[in-house]
Amino acid sequence: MKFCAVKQYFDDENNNNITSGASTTMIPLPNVESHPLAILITYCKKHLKIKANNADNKKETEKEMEQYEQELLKKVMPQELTELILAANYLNFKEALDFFCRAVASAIQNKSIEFVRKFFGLESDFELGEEEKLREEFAWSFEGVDED
Amino acid sequence: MEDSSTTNGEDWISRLPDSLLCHILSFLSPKEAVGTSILSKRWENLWISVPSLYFCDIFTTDCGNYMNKVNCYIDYVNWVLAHRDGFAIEKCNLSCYTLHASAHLYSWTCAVIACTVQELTIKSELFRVGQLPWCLLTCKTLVVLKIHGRFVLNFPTFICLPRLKFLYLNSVIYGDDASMQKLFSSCPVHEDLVIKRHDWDGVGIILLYMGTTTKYTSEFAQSQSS
Repeated sequence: MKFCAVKQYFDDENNNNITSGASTTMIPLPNVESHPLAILITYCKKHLKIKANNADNKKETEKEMEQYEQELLKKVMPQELTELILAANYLNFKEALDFFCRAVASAIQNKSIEFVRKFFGLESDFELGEEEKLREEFAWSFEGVDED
Repeated sequence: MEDSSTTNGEDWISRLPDSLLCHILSFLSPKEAVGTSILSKRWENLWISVPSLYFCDIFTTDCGNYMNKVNCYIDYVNWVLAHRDGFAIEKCNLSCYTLHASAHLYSWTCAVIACTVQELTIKSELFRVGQLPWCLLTCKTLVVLKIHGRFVLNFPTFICLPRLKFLYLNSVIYGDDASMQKLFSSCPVHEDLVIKRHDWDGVGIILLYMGTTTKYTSEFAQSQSS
């Protein structure tokens, strides 16, 4: 089961000898909203389907998964990533967590500080002169960044 | 993703806890991660906690600036490891392809070991590389150790790698048969042992005693002059 938090819930139920039909068990997920949960369920099902279709061919699985992930990202707003990352983390769904975190990293890779602030919706809260001092100290880390 | 300029100025990233921000930073190079320290006060020291570090000195060919690039790279790795200040590293890859940078591998390995690293890969494809520090072979936290390159493994009197599960040695130079024996008798590799040897590695015969759960893979390459 990919949602390790849910698996843990079932394992705990078995350990407590609580018998209940799997089809009627309600699992509380207080920290996950329905919209990101729906996306994660679709992602999970797609992942399993692609893996089953290409059982012996790992390369083909990776290629198809990458194509699906690129299409998925085109439909996701940056602000939605917060909920998706939090939900994947809560559900302990590692593949999805890595995917969405990697997507955020790719979006800011090699970009200027001004671009990244705008992308994240951040504002600088450094005192006057503090930021200039840090820019000077870390000048080497800004070499070669894209112009906005 | 949808057009990033349509975030409407809403600060969406700050809802994530530090641990998840560090997870995002782990997909950037150490250089890019350090660059985020200027975003805001909250981000100033986040990069220090990133669990994985990957260093590789492959540069695009630009002969005019080559030595400058190498020296800047050496300064940058020294700076990142010094500022890590002993903060735990989960995974580290030190790959050196330039002679100048590889001269620092010994001290960089020591710095990474001091950060209780769990997975360490050290790689060089140079014809001659130096020794690796003894602290590598007494590291209590190493679970995965991969050494690829003509490193001379000079063994201390005491070898202890209690948590080691995966050991990968490729093209390593040993002192003699007894050295290799000492290594494998002192550190039980619980899951996976891969050894790729050459006829110039200083070993004639090896005897391995392994647990029943250990998977063992070996390759031997003979040079054309032999």
